[in-house]
Amino acid sequence: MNNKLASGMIALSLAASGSVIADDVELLDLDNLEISTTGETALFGTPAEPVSNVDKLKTIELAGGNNCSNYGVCGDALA
Amino acid sequence: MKSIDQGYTQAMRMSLAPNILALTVLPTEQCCFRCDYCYEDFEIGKMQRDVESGISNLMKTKAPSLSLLNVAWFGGEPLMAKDVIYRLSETALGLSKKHGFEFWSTMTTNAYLLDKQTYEKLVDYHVNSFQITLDGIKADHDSIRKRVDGEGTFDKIIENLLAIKTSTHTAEIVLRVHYSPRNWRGVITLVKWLKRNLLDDERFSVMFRAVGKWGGSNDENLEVFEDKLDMANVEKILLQELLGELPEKQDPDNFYVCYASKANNLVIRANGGIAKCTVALSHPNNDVGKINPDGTLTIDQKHFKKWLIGFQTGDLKQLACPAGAALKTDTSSLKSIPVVATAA
Repeated sequence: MNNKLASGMIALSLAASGSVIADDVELLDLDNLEISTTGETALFGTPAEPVSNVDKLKTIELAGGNNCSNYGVCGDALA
Repeated sequence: MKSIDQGYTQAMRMSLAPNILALTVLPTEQCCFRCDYCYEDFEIGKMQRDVESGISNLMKTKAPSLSLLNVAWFGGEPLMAKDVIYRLSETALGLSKKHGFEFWSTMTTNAYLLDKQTYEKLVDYHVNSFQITLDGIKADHDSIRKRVDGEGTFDKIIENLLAIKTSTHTAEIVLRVHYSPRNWRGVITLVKWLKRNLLDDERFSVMFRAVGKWGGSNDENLEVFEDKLDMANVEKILLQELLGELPEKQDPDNFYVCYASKANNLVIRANGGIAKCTVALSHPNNDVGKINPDGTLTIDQKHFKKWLIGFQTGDLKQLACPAGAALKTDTSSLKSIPVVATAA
């Protein structure tokens, strides 16, 4: 029966929350980030690195990437 | 290292990666519907050729270094500009074959123009997921999701869905079912019908979303769940009707990164404006640049970077919806941000 529920969709009311990242996880330095005229990003003038595993990426994107705009949990930020 | 930390680091790398390009394209900002809760103003029409050329040229410029190109077709109602979609898809497919990158797309559509032939053509163009909204049983739906001339839309949408079901072309079809204090009892009846007539086909699935006041001109007249507990209880009833049981709770180490939080995700409006969020379209902080006919981007660095705030703070709520921070100069017109697809 679970295939009747859109993949990745967890009802807001049922979603767990409260997870936080560790203090030592690297964060993005937006002050030193720049977007180029072709949409690429550079940090301190060094272009961002490509990522290698496309199949993995595709899986992640389908589960929770752009497609997740359809399933996302946004909605509370401005409530 | 915890899985959430690894996921966070990977999400940040993916967001910045130059070999991924995700475009949310609005081929027109006109719509044949006028839904009660819609937040769009329809002031911008169909995409002009110079904007279309800009998108084609951007794809051509990026193609040699791409591993993945994803296009999310949005609007307005995107199928009111099928020609734009077909031409850009043709370009993307050609580049994908020539340069060996992956190309797939998704579409948020009201499905009024999504007949079987159109569906199959779009699937051939690598649209692998459609999101289509229903607002309950016919009587409720027709009073909420109306055509511009005020006529109902339920019968035509259902006719198209049943025709698509006879197709052998495979794509995911997510039925976004809206519920509110006004229609939720009828949604139970709708779910029973969907289970009998569409959900026996594994291409079809359902997601429930509560109607919200999303910034449209009719917000004051909308009946919405003001109490989150009431909303949650109704959603549980609907999920139980759909599944026979409640789904398991989300893994706490899973988190959602909104497309707007990603540096390599651009919303290209019909007038060539670049935005990050598809909801707060008219907010000045969401005007982050424009695409030029040669495919180059003119970026407002300050506005653009506001949307990446979640990767700077490590705040998972800001990653899931950066709008609260990005629009903080003025949030008076938006009480909540719905997921991307409510306009179509």
